[in-house]
Amino acid sequence: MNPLAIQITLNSVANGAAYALIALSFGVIYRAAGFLHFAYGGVYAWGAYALYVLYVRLHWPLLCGFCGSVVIAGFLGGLLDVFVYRNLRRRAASPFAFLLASIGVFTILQNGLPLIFGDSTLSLHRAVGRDGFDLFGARLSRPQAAMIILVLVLYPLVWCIIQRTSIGRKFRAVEVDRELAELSAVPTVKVVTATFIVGSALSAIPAGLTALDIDLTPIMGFPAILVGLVSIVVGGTESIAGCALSGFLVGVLQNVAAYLVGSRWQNSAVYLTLLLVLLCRPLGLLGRASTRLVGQK
Amino acid sequence: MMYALHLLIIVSVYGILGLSLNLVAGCTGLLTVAHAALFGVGAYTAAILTKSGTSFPVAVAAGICLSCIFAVFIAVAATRVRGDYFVIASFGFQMAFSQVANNWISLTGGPAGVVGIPALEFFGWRATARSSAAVVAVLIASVCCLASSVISRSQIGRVLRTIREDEILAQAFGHDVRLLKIFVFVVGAAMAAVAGALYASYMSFIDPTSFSVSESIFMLTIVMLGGAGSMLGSVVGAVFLVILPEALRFVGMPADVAANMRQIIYGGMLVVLMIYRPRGAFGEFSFRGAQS
Repeated sequence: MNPLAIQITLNSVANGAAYALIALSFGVIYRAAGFLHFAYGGVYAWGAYALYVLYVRLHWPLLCGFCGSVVIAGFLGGLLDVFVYRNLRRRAASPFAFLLASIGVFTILQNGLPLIFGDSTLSLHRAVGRDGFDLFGARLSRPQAAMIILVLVLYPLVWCIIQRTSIGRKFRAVEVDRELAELSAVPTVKVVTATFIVGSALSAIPAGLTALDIDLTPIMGFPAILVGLVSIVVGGTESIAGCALSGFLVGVLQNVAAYLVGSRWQNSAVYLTLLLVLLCRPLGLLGRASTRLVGQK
Repeated sequence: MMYALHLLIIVSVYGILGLSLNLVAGCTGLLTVAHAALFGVGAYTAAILTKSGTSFPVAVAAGICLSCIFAVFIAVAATRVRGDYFVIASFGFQMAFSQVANNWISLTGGPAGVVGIPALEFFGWRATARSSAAVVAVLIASVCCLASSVISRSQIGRVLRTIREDEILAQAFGHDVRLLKIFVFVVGAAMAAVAGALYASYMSFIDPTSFSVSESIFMLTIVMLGGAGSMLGSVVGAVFLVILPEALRFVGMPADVAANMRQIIYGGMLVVLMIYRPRGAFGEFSFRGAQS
């Protein structure tokens, strides 16, 4: 194989790993909350900026800063649930109201960043340096390697928690039927808040690694939302495997499109695929009928 | 006075956008985040054509046609998927448009936009003065108001509301829900395209930021503030939301900070509205308690 093909494959896998982590955290929140959490993009960007503040401004060690950003993102996600979504839930708001409120929160979070940090691109490059690993003549940067390792660690972990623990059982109960779960004495409010905290904390991992690998911009939450939406459309929401599949699919699509038609169009390729899947296979690529799709009037 | 006229024109443009989005999202319940794309198709078509010497009415007509074609695609998506999935689809269309506007540089000028767009012109009469542009803008807005009022009060308007409340019920009554969704999208797109042409020719400069997903969200905020399904609401929402941030200018905030503050205010309003008054100011439909 020629080095270019290896590099494209490697980049696809590394980007795919980051996207798989995004899809995982977005998907977990969607499963428990039941609406599109657009504000996810805002939390994601704030997680990355938290890493920047802790590492560059406060001079924390990188690993501590990383853990700190995970905690901050989780806290932010929990705040959103308690102060915004819980209020909506208490008033029995429709899914559209949740969605619009979430879009509102996203707008606030996204536009809050430039007020504090300015519009310009910030860099965390010197934290990890330019060097990376050499694989068959292709280069893999350290954050990229970390993404791949973390996917391999976090996916089984989250799967085990959801499928094998009592907390996971409650989570699945809330996902399938919140009212029934409530009647069966599942503390649904707490479960949803906990999911928001965990999902948001998870989102800081790909956010921080992407920030280390590329850089930080106030609009970095947009690609994250895109990946989250693709994961819902492509993977179906019930399966963890679907999240991984969609994440890697976006990674491959972007890199192949960047090679074939230029990097300017790599996101367009993703949107086009998203629309084609939605229009041709509305039930998702995995093809199982989702109750959320069919059941909604 | 010039400033007041400027605001009047901008309010007219967003009033038209609010009215047209109200037909689609407010009356029919199709929550689209792609309305700025329809606005943009109209604006770009009119801008590029008038710049290359086409007369304004022809350029507007072309803009309407293209925007309607684009809207048909979105409407087809609306007939195939519902709820969250339609929001995702419309998001995809909006982002696809933004990508083209930003990246097809030979046609759209990319992030630099289109500059030097000729002023409004009708068969030799040019609206170069701001006052005449304002008169035209208000006239067009009134026509759109009339059109949307006719549609909303007609038999079709009632069926559209039925689709919003219960799509299966509308089908059970023998209405062609698909066709009606396409119809309402096409009407909305036509009005948005007119607003786009008006905007482009008045500003004489357009760039992709005026047609981004944030603008779509802004238009949704207009409709939601005024109240879904209410025409009066859409107009009042447009007036209020266009003029309110102008106050920031007088507070003496720097332009870039003010731009972000504007968005934050809109976002905050959306959140507060959804929690405390999902019906909006004059709305008939609360986006609440849907049986999903």
